[in-house]
Amino acid sequence: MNGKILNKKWFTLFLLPALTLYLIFVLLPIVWASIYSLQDWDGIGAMNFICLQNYFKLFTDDPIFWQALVNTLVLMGISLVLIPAGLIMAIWLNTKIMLKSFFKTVIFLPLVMPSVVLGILWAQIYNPISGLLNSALVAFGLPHLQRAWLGEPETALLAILVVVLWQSIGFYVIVYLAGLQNIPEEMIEAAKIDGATDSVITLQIIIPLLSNLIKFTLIFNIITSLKYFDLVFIMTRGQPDHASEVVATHMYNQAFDLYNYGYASAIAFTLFMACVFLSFVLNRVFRRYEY
Amino acid sequence: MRKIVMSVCLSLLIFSSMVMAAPVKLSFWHMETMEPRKSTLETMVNEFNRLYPEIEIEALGIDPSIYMQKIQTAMAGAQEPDLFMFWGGGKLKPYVEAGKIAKITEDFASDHNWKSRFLPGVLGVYTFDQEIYAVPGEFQSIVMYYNKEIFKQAGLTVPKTMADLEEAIKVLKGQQVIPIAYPGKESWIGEYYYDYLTIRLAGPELFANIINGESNFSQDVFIEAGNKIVDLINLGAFPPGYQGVDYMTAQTLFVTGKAAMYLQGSWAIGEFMDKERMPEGFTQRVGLMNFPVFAEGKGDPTTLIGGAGMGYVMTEKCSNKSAGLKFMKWITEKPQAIFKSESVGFLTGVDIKLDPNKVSPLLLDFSEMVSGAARISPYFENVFSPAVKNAHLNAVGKIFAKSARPEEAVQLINKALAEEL
Amino acid sequence: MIKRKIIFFILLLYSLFSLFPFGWMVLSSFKTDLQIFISPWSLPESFNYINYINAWIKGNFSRYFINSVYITLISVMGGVLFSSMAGYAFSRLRSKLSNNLRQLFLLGLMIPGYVTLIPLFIILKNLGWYDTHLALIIPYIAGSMPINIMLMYATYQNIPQDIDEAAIIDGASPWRVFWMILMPLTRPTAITVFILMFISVWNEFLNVLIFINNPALKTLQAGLMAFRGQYQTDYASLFAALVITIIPIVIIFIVMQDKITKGMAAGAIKS
Repeated sequence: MNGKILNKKWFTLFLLPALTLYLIFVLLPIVWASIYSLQDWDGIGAMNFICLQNYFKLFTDDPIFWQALVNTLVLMGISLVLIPAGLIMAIWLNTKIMLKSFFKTVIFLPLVMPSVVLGILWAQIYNPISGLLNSALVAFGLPHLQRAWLGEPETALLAILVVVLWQSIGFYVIVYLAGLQNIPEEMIEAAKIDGATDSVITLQIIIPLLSNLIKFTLIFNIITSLKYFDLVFIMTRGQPDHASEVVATHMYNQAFDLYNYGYASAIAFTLFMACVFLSFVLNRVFRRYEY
Repeated sequence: MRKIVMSVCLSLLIFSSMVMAAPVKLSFWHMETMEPRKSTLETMVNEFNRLYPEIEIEALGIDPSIYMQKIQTAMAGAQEPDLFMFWGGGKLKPYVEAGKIAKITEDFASDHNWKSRFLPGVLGVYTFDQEIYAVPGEFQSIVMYYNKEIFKQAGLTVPKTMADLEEAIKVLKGQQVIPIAYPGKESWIGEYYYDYLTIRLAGPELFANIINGESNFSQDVFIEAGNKIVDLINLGAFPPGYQGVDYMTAQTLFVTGKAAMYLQGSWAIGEFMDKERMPEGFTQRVGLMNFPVFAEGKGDPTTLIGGAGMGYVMTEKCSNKSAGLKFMKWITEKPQAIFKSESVGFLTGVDIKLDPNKVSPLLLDFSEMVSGAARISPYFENVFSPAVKNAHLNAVGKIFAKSARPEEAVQLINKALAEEL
Repeated sequence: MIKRKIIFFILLLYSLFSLFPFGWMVLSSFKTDLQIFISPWSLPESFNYINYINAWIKGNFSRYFINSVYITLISVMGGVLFSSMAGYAFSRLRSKLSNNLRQLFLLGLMIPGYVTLIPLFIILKNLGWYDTHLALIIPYIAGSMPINIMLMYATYQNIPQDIDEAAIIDGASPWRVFWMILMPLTRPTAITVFILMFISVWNEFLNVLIFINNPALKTLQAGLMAFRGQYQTDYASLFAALVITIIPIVIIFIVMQDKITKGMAAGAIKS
C-alpha cells in the first residue's frame, strides 16, 4: 500500500496550514507582481496597462539584460559544483575523524553570517590597497598578479563567485549529513565486508538512497543561483560597467534607481518563468532516472 | 432646567478641553540613524515638541540602505508618513507628479520671514512647474580637499589650471604620494570629476541647449572631458587599483596622509569633524581648493557643483497641514540652522552667520566658497531624468574603466536622451 | 588509515581558510575605525571592549535581542511543524494532485524578493498586521515552506510505510502515527530544518525594516542601522554588533548539530 496511507480528509488536514499560509503570503504576491509586469508604472503614481510591452522591450532592447543573463548562467553553472563538493564533505564528516564538530561548525559558519557581513569582509580581503589577497600575493613573490579584484571587469564576477560558493557550501553539507543519518550503518558495514570500495559504496548505495534529496538540492541550487542577489549587490552592485551584473541586480536597478517598477516586475517574472521551465525539464529528466 | 444646561455646558467644556489638549500627532520619517546627525535631529524635534505642545512630531529613523524602498512601499500601501526628508530634483519628481506631495508655494510666498531666510536659488531643486514642494535641510557641494602639509612638503602651490594640476600630480608621484584619492568603486563620484571638467570647459550654457533639444552629448566638450580623465588616469593621478577602491578606503587614504587631494562632497566636513575617528589635528591640515580650470575653458573657477540635498517634505496624506507647515518653518529658522551647522558641519541653505569659534574651520572655508561662487551648477540628476542620469553614470564608468572611448561612451547618454523625447 | 589522515588534513586546511574572515572580523571589532583601515591585518593594540558596549547601547540591543529570539523561535517552530505535516501528507498520499501541489511549493523559491515587497505589504496592511510581529512571523513561516517541505518530504520518503501500516493496524489514527512515531524518526531532518530556518529568520532584515516602525518591536538586524550612515559606516562598532548577533546562532548550531549526527535507532528503519 505504497502512498495510500492517508485518505483525502487527513491529507487535506495535514496540508492545510502550510498551504494556506503559502498561498496567501507567497503565491498571491507573485501573481500580483505578474500583474505589475503588465503595467507602465514607476512604483509611485498611477499604473498604465501596456500588456506585454515590457517583455518586448526586455527581449529586444535591453543589452544589459543579456549581459546579466550570461553572468547569471555562469553563476549557476559554477554553483553546481556545490552538489558533489557538499556530498563529498558530508560523507567525510560522517566518518570517524577527529575534530568533526569543529569542522562542521567552521564549514557552516559562512551560512550563519548575514550576507552584509560576508560582503564587507571579503571586500576588505579584495581591497587592492590594504587587502589580504594582494598582500599575500606580494608576500609569496607574485606582486604582478595583484589586481583590483572587485573593480576590474575580468575578475569581478569570479571574485564574487568565490564568496558565494564559500557562503553556500555549508547548506549542502548539513542537508546531506542529515540525509546520511537515515542510512543505516549496517548497510555500509555489510558492503565493506563484501569488499566494496568507497567509490562503489558511494555510487551504488549512498547516492541512490539520497536520490530524493539530491534531486531536490539540484533544483534548489539552480533556482537560487538564477535569482541570486545579495553578495553581488553588496560587493559591486553589478559594476564595473555591468561586468558583474546579474538578473536580480539589474531588476533592482530598474525598480529603484530608474523608477521602472513595472519593467522590473517583468524581469522578475521572466526569471520566474525560466525557473518554472527549468524545474519542469529537470523533473522530466529525473523521472527517467528514477531509482 | 438650569441643571440640564449646566451639565451640558460642563460636558462641552470638558469635551472641548480634551480635544484641545490632545496634541496633533504627525509622523516624520528620516534617515539620520548615525551619530552625530541622529542626536542633532532628535534634539531639534524634542525642542519643537516642547515649544509647540499642541503638536507632537513622532520622528522615525530609518536605515539609509533601504530608505527609498521604505518610502515607496509605504506610499504604495497608503501608509506614508505625514512628513519626511527626501532629496529634490529627479528623485522627488515622480512623487510630485503622482500627487503625493503637498505644495507649499502659497504659504511660502505669503510668509516673508520664511521666504527671505534662504539663500537665493536653493529651492530650485524642490520646485516643479513653479510650485514649491519642500524646504532644504542641507546644502552641499562637491569640493576638492587637499592636504596642506603634503603640498608644503612637496613645495607645491594650489593648482589653478589643469596644467598646474598635472604638474602637481607628477611631483606628488615622485614623492610616493597618491595624488588624488579616487574611490573607483563609487562610480557616482567619477561623475563629479566628469561634470566639473565639462563645466570648466563649457561654462554656464552647457546643459541649456541640451535641454531645449538643440544639441546632445556628442559636443566636443563632453569628449574632451572624457579625454582629460583618461589623461589623468595615464598620469597615475589615482590610487593603484582605483577601480576597486571604495568610499571608506579612499577617505582613509586621504585622512591618513597617503593621498594629497580628495574630491568629495561637503558632507565629508561633518565626517572630518568627528574627533574620535579622525587622526589628531586633522582638520588643521586640510584645505579646500577650487577645481582647476582649463586655460582655454570658458568656465569660471569659482563655480561649484552643488545644491540642496535632503529637505523636508509634507505629504498630501497629512491630515493637519498647518501643523506640518509649522514644523517645516520652525526647523528652518536661523537658530536651528546655526545649531545644525555647529553640530554636524553642514550648511543648511539658510542665510546665517557662522561663529568661527563654534564651527569647524573647514565649514567656514566652505561657506566662503559658496558665497564667493560665481554660480552653483546643479547636480546632473537634478537637470536630467533618472534614465539619462543612469546612462551618464554608465558612460562615465566606461570612461574610467577605459572600456570605451569617450566618443563611444557619450552615445549611451545620447540614446537615453533620445528615448525621452 | 592514510585516507582518513588526508581527509582530515584537507578539512583542516579548508577550515582555517574559512575561519580567517570571521577571525578578522572579531579582531577588528576590538580596533577603532582608523586602525581597521590603516593596519587591517595586525592584532589590535588592546582588547578594547568599548566597541561592544557602544554596539549594545547604540544598537539598542537589549530590547532587540529579546525580539529577535521571540520572533525567530515562534517562526521556526511554526515552520518545522507545518512543513513536517505537509511532508507527511505528500509522502503518505501519492497521487497526481499530491505531486502537483508539492511542485507548487517550489514556485516560492523562484522569484527575487524585492518585487513581491509591495504586494506583501498591501496584504499585511489589509490584515491589520502592519507594524506588528505577525507581519514578520507569518511571512517567514510561509516563505520557509518550499525548502522545509522538500527536506521533510525527502525524509518521509525514506521511512518505509510498513511502520505506518503497523501502527494503523494497531488502531492508531494518522495524527497519532504522525506525532508519536514519525516525528521522532524524522528528528535529524527536523533539526536541520530548525537550524537553517533559524539562521534565515535571524538574519532577515528587509521585512523587518520595511514592515516594522515601532522601535519596541524591532529585531537585532534593525539595530545595525545605528552604524550605517548615508555615506559612511562605523565599521568598528558594526563588527562588534555583528559578532553579538552571530554568537547565538553559533551556539545553537553547536548544541544542535550533535543531535543531527546521532542517528536514529537502527531497528526502526531497517528495511
